[in-house]
Amino acid sequence: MGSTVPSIGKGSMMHEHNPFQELYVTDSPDLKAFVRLFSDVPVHDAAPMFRPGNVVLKGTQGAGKSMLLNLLRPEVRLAYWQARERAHPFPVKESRFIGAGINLTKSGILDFGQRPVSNNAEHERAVLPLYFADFLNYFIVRDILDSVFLAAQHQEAFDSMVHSELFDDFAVAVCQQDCWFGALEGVASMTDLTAAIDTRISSYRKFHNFILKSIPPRIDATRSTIGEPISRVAELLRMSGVLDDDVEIFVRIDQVERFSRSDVIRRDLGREYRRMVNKALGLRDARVSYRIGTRQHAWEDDLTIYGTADQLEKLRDYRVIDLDANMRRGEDTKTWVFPRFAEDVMKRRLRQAGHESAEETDTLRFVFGSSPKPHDVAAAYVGKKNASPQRAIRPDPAWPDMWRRKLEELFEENPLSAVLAAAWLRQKKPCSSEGDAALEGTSAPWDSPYWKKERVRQALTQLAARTSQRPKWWGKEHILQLSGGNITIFLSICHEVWDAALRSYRRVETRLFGEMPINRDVQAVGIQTASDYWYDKIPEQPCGADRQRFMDVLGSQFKTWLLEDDTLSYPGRNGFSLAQSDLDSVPALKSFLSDASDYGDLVAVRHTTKERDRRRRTKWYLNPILSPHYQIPESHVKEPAYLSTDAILDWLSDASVLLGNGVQVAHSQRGKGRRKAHRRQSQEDSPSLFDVD
Amino acid sequence: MPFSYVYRPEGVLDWLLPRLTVPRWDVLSGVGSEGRCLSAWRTLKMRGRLLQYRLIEVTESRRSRYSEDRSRLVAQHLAEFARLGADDSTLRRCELLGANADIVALADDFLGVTTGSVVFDVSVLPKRFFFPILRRLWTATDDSGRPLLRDLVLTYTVPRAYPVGPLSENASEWASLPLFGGAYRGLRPEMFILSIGFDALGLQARVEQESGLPLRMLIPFPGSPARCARAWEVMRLLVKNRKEESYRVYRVRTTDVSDAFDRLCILTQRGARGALLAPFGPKPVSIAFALFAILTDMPVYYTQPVVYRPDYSIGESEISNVPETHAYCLRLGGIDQYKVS
Repeated sequence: MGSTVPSIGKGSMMHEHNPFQELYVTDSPDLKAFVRLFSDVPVHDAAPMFRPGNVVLKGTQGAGKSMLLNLLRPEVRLAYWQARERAHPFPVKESRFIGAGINLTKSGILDFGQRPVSNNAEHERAVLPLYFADFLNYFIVRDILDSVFLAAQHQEAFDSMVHSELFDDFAVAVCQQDCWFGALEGVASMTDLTAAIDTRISSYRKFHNFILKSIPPRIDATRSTIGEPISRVAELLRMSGVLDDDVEIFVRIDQVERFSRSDVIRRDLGREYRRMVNKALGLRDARVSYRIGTRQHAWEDDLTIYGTADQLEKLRDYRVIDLDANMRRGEDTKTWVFPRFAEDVMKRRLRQAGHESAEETDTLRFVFGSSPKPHDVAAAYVGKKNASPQRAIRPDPAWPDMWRRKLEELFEENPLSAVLAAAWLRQKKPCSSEGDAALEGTSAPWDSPYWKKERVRQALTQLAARTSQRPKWWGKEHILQLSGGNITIFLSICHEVWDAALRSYRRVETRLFGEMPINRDVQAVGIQTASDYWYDKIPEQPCGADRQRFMDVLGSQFKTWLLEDDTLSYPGRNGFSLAQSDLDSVPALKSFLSDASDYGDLVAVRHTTKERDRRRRTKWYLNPILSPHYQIPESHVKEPAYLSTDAILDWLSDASVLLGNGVQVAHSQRGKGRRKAHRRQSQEDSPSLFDVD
Repeated sequence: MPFSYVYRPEGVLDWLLPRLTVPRWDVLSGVGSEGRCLSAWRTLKMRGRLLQYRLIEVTESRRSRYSEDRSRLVAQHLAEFARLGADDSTLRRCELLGANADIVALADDFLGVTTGSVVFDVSVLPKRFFFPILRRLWTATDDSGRPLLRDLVLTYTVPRAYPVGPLSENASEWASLPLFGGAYRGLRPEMFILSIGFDALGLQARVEQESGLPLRMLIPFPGSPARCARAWEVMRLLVKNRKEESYRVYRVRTTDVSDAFDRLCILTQRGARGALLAPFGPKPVSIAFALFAILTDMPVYYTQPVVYRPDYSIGESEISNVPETHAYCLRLGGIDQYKVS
């Protein structure tokens, strides 16, 4: 099997290939590529993955959940050993494990409920989760055995932890366990055991393919309870000596959100299946450890344990690894992991492609350079078209001539400062004492770091619009910000920038790649293409067309707000905030927004409010990568628009999105005349930066 | 491996009917918002070849911005069926995202009345329906284990045009089509074979995620410049993040089931090499995928759209004033026309 990323030598054609061509190589079944390109940076923050105990791995799409869970697959471990060039990325002392799991899509487990098993609906609802649990048990046990077989065939790769001479003794011991209720009677060898398990799984599948008329009575009489057969097999593997005593069993169940979000599974049943998985975790059974992959909000949907009113308890029943939180930028940038991750991923890709820049200390800066200072961006917007100060500053006709002249002079010298000054003047009025001082030149309050810090990006957005320029992004800092902690987005940006550079290189017939960093205009083109690519991908996901239309309404509204706010009073209006209690009262809306966040279209962040009621709130922003598409700033400054759920429902109506449960029917009956009032209200309710000053 | 050069009878329905020995046919047909839903049924009725029939209306599982337009068009077409003499007691309804059992029940209901010679019109039936129904029709046996259907002909009417823009939206998650989950512990997939059409909702992400599997794409050609351009644009997006040597393109004629079936046989060495199948292309190519998957028990995956445009297609294409309804003989006189070995 050849390399999946082109390996290119030195020479004139060496840069004709794009090292970032394949975005998802780490999800690929090409294990050699996985070994070469996998970055172990996220592993450092995922240590619980390789230790006993249940772990829930949360993250939005593309955050790298499946990539990390892949590390537990025995095939991946074998590929690391076979490659020899890299040690597996988990610590040696934590390498004594066998991984197994179930693929919900390919296993056929989602078919449960697609065919009635009973004429009585109530009985059916009661019994289907039990069949589901039985199938899950057998399927995972079979996968554990497959992993053990693979480890037995490759002893060196698996640290000689499997002893195959004891297989048949183990099989006999297994079949004697009461957890099978006699289903495995007669098993005398490992071959018998796997055959018996295969027959049972196959019977279920034949039933769901309408080959069998009914589930065989023998299955009905021997249904196992969730988790117990898995634990017994894990225990007996160690007790019988097939596995060494210190070997852990890790069981992967990825995409758990499918139980509650999939169109191919009945909602009421999906909920019970999810609760059944919760029950497996709730057993707190030290013999086996579960690894659950799930999207952010989908996990919190339902923590109820099947058949009880009990809830799973964080830390007691499971630990959480939140990939989004790990990778997202916090207040303290020193603890931000993502830049290191991105740097490592980029180095690996470039090294694989034989590119010399992979050996730079700061490859990202070497390739992309630094992002521009705001004043340089402003100068670039103005310089290209010799913009008119009248158009860029929009001076108020009522302002005194002296002020107008001062702003025009300032514009010649520093356009960004002039835009900020004009906004300041609109807030403070020219004939105030502060205005007089500023006019005399004794102070320039609009240039004080505190005043301009959160207004600069909005001012630049306005300046770009008024000078008919498209806002541009380039340089290391912008690329990291636009990636939003998502490595797939980062790779996509690199891919498009590199492609744009290749096109430019071919066109001008110069050795562009000898001239790092890549030209900023070329980067801007690549970043714009990447942004459009992610916008075009929104309808690719379930219910994505609805969300894309909603994003269009949001993007348009945010842009209007930011451009029409001449006083720069609401720079945080590239997002909106809802009180949690309001959102909880409209479950269909909550679900829609949660999905938008889980699929990575929106970013949701809980925040504290400045309102007196101190209610918990969540603020929502567009995914940063969509900012170039909508031409709004990607940075999130204080105080988004404080809105009511009615305002969001209005936006959904504008986007022709119909939520379930007649929410919008009821909503629309209250009339559209209310919309303007909502918008006014949102202007009035939202704290502005005036409150801060 | 060379092409099989097997002759599999097919042709425009109006031309083919008098050349088949079956005097009258039992018909299973879809009713929907597209005008072409009437074509095959009307042709059989007007030629006096119609015996038993069942009409299937696939209803919406969720209301959408298109719901009202869709309902109006469906009502128009039902009225037209009635005007032509259809009995409304033959109408069966099922939700688009209905349970597999509900879809199978449609096939079984029809199998209960058929006399053994069947025309199955798939022109307006979603893949989620026509795949499992075809499987039931193909594999149905009598008490002695012999195939229940002696003759099985599939029909597909080419529309006059397609509207500009996406034809469907809000695709579901990547999942196997009902009854097409593939064999348990079947052949390990060695390639990813997909057919390309106008839309590929959800397919791009899957193509990127399966980047380790060689991609084999069946693209409809020849066709009108506009249709070809649209399919090639979909293909361009699909391979955007793929290295060039990891994919290959094969041209198949839009209405040629036999050609597409042979291509699948060649790619998989007559089913000896495992593949993931994803039919996103024209219906006749999808028919080939369905037949091939039934015969090899390979899995077929799809992202079922939840919302279809009511004007998914416009009118019906005609050849010499006759609707361009293609008829494909899958089984004649008890002899299967499609085999993998």
